[in-house]
Amino acid sequence: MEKNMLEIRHLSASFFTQKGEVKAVNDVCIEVPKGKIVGIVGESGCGKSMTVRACMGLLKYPGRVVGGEAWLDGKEILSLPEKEKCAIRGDEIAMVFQDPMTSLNPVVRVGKQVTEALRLHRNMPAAEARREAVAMFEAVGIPEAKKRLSSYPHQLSGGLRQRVMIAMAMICHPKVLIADEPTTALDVTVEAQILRLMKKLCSDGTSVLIISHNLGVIAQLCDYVYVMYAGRIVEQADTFTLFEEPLHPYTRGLLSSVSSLRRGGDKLDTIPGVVPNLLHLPAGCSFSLRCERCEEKCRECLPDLMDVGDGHKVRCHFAGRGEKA
Amino acid sequence: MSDHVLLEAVNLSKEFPLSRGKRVHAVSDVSLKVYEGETLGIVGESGCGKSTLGRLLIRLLSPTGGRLWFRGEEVTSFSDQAFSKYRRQLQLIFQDPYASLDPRMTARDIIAEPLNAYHVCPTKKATTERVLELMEAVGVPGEFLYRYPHQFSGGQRQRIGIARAIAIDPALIVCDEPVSALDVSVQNQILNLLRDLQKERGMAYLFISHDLSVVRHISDRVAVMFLGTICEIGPAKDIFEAPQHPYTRFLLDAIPQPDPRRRDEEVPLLKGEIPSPVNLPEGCLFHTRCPYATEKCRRERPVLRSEAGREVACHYRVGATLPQKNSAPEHV
Repeated sequence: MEKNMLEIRHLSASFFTQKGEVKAVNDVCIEVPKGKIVGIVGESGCGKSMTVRACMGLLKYPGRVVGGEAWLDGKEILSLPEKEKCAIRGDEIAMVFQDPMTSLNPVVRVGKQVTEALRLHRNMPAAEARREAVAMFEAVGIPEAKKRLSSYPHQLSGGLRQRVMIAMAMICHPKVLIADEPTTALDVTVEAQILRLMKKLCSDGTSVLIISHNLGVIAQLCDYVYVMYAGRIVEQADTFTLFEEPLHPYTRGLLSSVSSLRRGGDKLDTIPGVVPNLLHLPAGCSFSLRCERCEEKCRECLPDLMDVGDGHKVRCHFAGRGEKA
Repeated sequence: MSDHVLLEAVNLSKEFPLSRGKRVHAVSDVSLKVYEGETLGIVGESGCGKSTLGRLLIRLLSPTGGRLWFRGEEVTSFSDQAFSKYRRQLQLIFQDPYASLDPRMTARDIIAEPLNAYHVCPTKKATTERVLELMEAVGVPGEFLYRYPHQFSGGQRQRIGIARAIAIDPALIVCDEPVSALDVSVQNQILNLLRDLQKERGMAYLFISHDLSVVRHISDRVAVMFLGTICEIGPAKDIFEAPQHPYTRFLLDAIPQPDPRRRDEEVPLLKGEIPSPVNLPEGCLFHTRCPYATEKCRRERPVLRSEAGREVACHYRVGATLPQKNSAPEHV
């Protein structure tokens, strides 16, 4: 078993709003082994982004971590004072965001933005940092790297901007790279280029935690997958097991939604109903309102995340019975 | 679906002026027909002119070139007032169901607006009854009649947008990315609804989307757009199973497959990105990204040529000769 570079343990985070506590992340445990790509998949509002933002210490008011730990290469980082968190962020752990236009500074040349981390964390002289940046730009496939350093973000296309974001995150060679929907804002031909780039980075030894709602991206990229629903992990397994033997009814619903769309035919498979309001979660299983197999037990008590073998875990009362989709 | 042409465009173009005499060539020389009761899908990457084309076809924008017929009558130079008799035949469903519903109107008023505009129902009571029928047709419970948009979920909001569009029985609905803002599980509910409504009411859809699997599922015919032009148009099945334009091929191959067993297939990737629609390249618009481009492609712009029910704008129909990723997984 490879060592875990990032280990999130029983993390809970909430938004404290006027209407009450919104439990956006609820008792989430995630492990990212060294050199692997781990994916979190789920629909909007399921808490995927909240989870990684919480562990980066990037939650904004009224959001707050209410419990849990995050271990980065054997060091607990959630309890660190802000100053020490700053020293880690961008150095040992880095993040790529969904929309490169809103996360790059529009009035600063990208070269300065990319070298900032080196200057800050490594105290590197400007000339040397520039050389590093050029090398990194070339590694992520930015043509005319030297010239591009003096471009402003608006002068670059969407695909190039996302490459700049990835270069910026990778420049200090972080132990863990977190990518929050890195290709969602991109067109499909550019998305394919970025996915190939991320695969290459990972083969160089970086551990990656990637968030996506796109099952295609997850299937192509990840070694291990966590499925989130209404703030909780409902299923986790290695990618092949998850796509071939999904056990949680929500995972099955998601997969059959996608596959029936590709298969064609008259009626598409759907999951009935909508995602529950996080302010008023049902007492038992949070999927019970939309689940076809829901029974009395499901409405009353929350199932545990049960291990059904080989690291495949499912949060469903019926998972142990071994029925397959 | 019938053989009657509902809408026909010939060499339709739209340019938007920029400063210093520059122009954005949003749509260039597009010719197509929409038949009564069919679904014509339009796919392409962002900025390829899909939405502009959709708006041109229902005259929300006036073209800078080309001609447009509606049920056999040329409407290109009609004034807005003269066109208004056709206006009720044409409706629109938008991408963002939140931005396209007035936040200060109730569901009842939103759906009743087209009914009132065309004086469909004689009394207020009759209007409300009609709204209730429409809400039932799109699967929104009648007790939500007086709710506001923010009280609905994304899927329900899109249903209300659909109810508004079908309220006056249009002949064509332009669906501009109607499911892109929705989650997968909800997206399929809306696609099923659109298909059921078409079966019941027989209107045509112009279905604009960047998501190829969605377009494949819902469309009878598909047009693939690149840089404001159509590069390939034909029956959905043919386009997806045997694409002939190289761009269509690359587009299809680039979709990440939700099947981990297919991850090691090394597919050829398109280099670079879409050229700017301000300075269009000489010759074939696709030649800057096309690995098969020849001297002829750099010089001469190919036009849509019809062959076996399919129109393709490529000198060589390269796509047809490439190895098939989907049908021949053993190729290395």
